[in-house]
Amino acid sequence: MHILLVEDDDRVAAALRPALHRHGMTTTRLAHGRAAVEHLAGVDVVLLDLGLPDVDGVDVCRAIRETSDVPVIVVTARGEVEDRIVGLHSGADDYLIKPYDVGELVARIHAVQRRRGHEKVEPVDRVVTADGVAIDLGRHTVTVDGAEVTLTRKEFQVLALLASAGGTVCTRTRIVAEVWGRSWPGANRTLDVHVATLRTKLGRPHLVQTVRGVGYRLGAG
Amino acid sequence: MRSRLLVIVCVLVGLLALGLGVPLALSNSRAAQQDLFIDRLTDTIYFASRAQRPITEAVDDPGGAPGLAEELARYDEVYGVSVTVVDRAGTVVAKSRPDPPALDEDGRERLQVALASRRSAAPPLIWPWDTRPLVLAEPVLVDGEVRGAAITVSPTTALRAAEIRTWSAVAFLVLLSLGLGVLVAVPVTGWILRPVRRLDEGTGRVTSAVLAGRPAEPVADGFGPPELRRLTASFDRMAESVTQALSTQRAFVADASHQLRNPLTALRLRLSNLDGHVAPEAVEEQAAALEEAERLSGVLDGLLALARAERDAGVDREADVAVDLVVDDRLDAWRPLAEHTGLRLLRGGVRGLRVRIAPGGIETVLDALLDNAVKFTPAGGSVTVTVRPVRGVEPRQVEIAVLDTGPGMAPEDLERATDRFWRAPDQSNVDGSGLGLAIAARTVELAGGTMRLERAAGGGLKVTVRLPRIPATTADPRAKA
Repeated sequence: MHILLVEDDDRVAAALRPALHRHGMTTTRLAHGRAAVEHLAGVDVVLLDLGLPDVDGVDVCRAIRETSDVPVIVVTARGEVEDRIVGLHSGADDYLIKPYDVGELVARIHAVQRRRGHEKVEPVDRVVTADGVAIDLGRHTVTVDGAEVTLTRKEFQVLALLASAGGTVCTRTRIVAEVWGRSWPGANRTLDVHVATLRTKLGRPHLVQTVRGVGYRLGAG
Repeated sequence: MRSRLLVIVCVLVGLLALGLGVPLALSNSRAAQQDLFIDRLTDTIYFASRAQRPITEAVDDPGGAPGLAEELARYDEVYGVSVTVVDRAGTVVAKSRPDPPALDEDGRERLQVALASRRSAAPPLIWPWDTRPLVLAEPVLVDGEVRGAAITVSPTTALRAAEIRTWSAVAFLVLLSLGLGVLVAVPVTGWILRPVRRLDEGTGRVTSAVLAGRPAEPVADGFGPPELRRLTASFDRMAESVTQALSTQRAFVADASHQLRNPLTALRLRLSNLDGHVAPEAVEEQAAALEEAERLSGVLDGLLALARAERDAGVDREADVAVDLVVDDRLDAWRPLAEHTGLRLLRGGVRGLRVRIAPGGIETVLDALLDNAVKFTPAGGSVTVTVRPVRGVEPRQVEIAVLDTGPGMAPEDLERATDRFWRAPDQSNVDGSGLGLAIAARTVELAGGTMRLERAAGGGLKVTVRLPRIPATTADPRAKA
């Protein structure tokens, strides 16, 4: 997979490139936004920093959208809701706020690619099974060794998110954003409470694994 | 200030007018009385000399002197002045009317003086309210020997009437000068005070401009005394520097938290890149380093939120917000965590209230307050959010109070708890940026409300937030329900 990295900060780019290479991706890096449109050939996903020195990243995003169908993930230090809306309106497929975790970034790169390229391949009513726990993403039910376990809506959403990530780590920020819609001062601790309850209810203390400093992932058991 | 200046001007003008008017009136009265005194004295002396013969004759032949009595009667008829001539024993020798007015003490004294062969002294000043007549007595001397006295008793009615006219004229002039003084002083004080008034209005505007981060509107308009004009000009310069310093500071906070994100991103990526290359005994250290990066990112988020709250001051983003929806939503969000730590989250007060605040404002405030309450209240306690209208305060307000059963705060800490990065001395290791209450206080302040921290009756902390209330009837129909 080839990633076009539009990022003005050399040090961020230098740190990011080996991380992406480790996940089997190749990268082209541009320090300026103007040339982005000319480098779209052979690119699978564009990673675009909105805070560019020469042009507004939002304009770059629009320009890319006008010429190409390539998925764009915008990355920004601006985390405000208004900026997020502007970013998505300008044609971006997803939105990440600095500082982000590389696992989350990779998961999102795969997600936007799936959505763009193989939308029909993704089964809506998938069942993820791990360690005797069957998570039915379509019917919103969970069974442990064949017996159904009652979860609250949020608990199920957390579990379903981890299940659909397929073993890769989901950052706390991402889980909170996708399950609760917004972050608040108690969000991380609330997530911990939900994970603790999940572990108890499922009777599998090691199914949901903590990745310290990053987030959670679904383990093999 | 204006009325005080006017009072000062009036007092000065009044003192001046009185200082000139009263001596004028007094000297006028004295002159009139002097004239009257000399006139009567001349007449009395004349009658005394005229009475020389009748007195000597009367001594030989009592009951005589009809010629003198006739003359006295004529005089009395013309001038209205009663004249009596007595001998040394005080026996009446001749009189101008059948029943001459009785002499008062002063009159008797004057008679004794005359009989002692001394001349009359000028009487003391006669005031308009003195009804006593002017009594003069002159000795009747025969060959240098006192043989009797002539007494004139003059009514002072005419004199006093003239005196009242004089005093009235003086009083009128005093009042007139006072009026003129006020007429002149009003525009002059207005001119002097115009820069002061503009400064007064200006300070209010500067405060709001500083809060809003707008440039302050200049106060100087080139009117007023030069000293005050210079003062307003310096005030304008000061207001400009203050607003500039503040906006620079805000921009700095926003920029700094912005600029720190790139190094922080690189740091996190580098730490992640170490995955699989770290010796097993150092994995713990790597995870801890990632946690520290996460914590730093949390502080940056808080700083940015604070900078945003301050920046938004100038922008009119306020909207009509239904309190119930937000309170219920936030209580639902915090409930799992609260219940997990053994706390009860309660909702009290009334429903159906609306307030004016920037979108997301109540959420920010409640999150900060609930965060604190849930963090510091021990298991088994409760956190209560009460919403009620404030009675008897204009403009109308809604009170949102968060009360917990935790340890509360020391009185000296209540003051400082809303400072940036403040933490209770014994809580410095509890997670959090120390910005929550600062952001909440700023958000409330910008919405035109107040936030007060106090020790609750039960020992816990009570935070009371008051926000401008929108009456249900005039609520914006476009507002989100």
